Amino acid sequence: MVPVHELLRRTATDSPDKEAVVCGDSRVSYGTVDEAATALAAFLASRGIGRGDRVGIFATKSVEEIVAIYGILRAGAAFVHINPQYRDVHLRHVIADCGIKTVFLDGSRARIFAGACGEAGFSGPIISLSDELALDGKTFSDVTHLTSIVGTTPRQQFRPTDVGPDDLAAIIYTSGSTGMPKGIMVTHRIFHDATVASAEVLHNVPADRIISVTPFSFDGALSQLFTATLVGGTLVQQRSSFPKDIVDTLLKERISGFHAVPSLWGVLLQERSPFPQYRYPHLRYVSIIGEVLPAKHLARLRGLLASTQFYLMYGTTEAFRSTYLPPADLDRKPGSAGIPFPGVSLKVVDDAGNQCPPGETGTIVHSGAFVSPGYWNDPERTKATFVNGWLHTGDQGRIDEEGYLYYAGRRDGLIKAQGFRVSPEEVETCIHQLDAVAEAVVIGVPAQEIGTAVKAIVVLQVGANATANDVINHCRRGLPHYMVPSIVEFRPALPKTNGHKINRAALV
Amino acid sequence: MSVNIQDQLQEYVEELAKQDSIDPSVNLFETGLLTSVHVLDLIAFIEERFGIVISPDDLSIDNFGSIDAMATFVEKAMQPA
Repeated sequence: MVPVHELLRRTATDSPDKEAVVCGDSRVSYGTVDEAATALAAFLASRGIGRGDRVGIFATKSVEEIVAIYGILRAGAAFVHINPQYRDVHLRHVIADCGIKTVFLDGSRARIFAGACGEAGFSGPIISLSDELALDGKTFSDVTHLTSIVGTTPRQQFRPTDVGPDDLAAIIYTSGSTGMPKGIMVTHRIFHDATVASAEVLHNVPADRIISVTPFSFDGALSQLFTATLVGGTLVQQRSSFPKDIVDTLLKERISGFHAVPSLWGVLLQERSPFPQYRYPHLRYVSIIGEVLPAKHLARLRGLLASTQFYLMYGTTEAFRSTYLPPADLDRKPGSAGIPFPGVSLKVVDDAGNQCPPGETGTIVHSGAFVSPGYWNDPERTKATFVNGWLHTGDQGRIDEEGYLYYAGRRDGLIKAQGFRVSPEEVETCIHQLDAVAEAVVIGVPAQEIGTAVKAIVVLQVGANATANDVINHCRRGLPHYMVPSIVEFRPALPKTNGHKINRAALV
Repeated sequence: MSVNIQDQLQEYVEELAKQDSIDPSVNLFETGLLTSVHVLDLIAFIEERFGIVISPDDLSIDNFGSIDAMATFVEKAMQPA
């Protein structure tokens, strides 16, 4: 097992001048990224940060956040890339939950961070990824700039901290079906194994130029970064998700690899997008994961990108990657998420834990490669989810006679909207803050372009008034955008089960 | 006229972002005030309010990243060709 920050060193040694990362007008080589990461690691070590420590990154797409990831790993610590859409409550939760004492912050997130953590008394070091940080007058005593660290820290004597395969490399926070986001632990071994397996399946080569649209708070984005590093390809950081800007990058940067959630494809295929007007001869492959891509979108994409290979994948953050559909099977196995990645065992089990016969739907369970050691700071949930080495995904699916998986949705009401996990309970809690609301339930419903829409069904207090806009506007103030319901329906009552619980199944 | 365009955009964006006194020069998307899912709402509003048609090739962050940028874009689009 070679840790991913060592893969960076190898590539930088073999091809120091090769373009590693592009972001807007910035272009940096592997040699530059490697040296900056070492300087940063030396700085962190000088501050006593090392093995076992969790270091936060709250930033949008940049070259610098990649230096931060590799620098933290090289210091032996674990990085926690915080979803850039998080606001007050979620941001404070992540920082408190895993005890982040040092955070990398860029200018675009400074105000949000200051607002959420200024009064909460964040006293640890802040490392600025930008030239300026507008901290809104809030006092943070210990702010250092990455550029000055890279410029002044002696790195010749620095020896990277030895890390073992089972040491913590990152914590990835995702929403569950209940409560606040939970932290999934990722080890060095998982990053290494998933990187090697992904590169093998996608046939990545040094000539690859991979566009990165998704934030590094998601495992798919990290997989692309590390895969690019492994093979010595180029990662192109895409800041704007406007269709025209993505199209420009695809053409100008001659992108060869594009990994995206189905909702992004929905945006690129909608009537306002220039995407269908152009040809992309350099686009060697497209990989799709996160939720099911509507068949009509896949058919249209294949028509537009005739020379591009399509890889449909299935996975959960708890086990990084489970299956992929080889492009050759696309027509033979329509709707399938494919076969297990090398090293992965997959089966479908019934409620008693017995393996279902082929074709029968049950819970998807995963063992072998890529399985997380569990949830940070939550042994109970870990015990319930990781049983004898098998991750119980909570996803429903069936496996056919030839071993191909078909995904059949969530079991526990968790919604996957725009590629994000949305906890219905979190949205319901937010809606309940409105005085006019007596009951609220949130479900996922099929939607034209985005795949799944978040829908709220609301019962008002007797005599109270509220409009759909009141509900939506209230949610916008407190929740990340992908959790905000796009549809609100008012009903006089909600169907209940015998236990007086809301009967979600009867609502869909 | 141009002041009017700017004011109307300011008012609408503040409504959309649920925040007052937004700096018109700030990048709304990079600061997280708006996200890509707001883009279609924004376009519908601008087309309807100012009677212009926005072509797919204009749908970039350069034209819609800030209130100032949107105002410049709308003014230009409203000029007779």
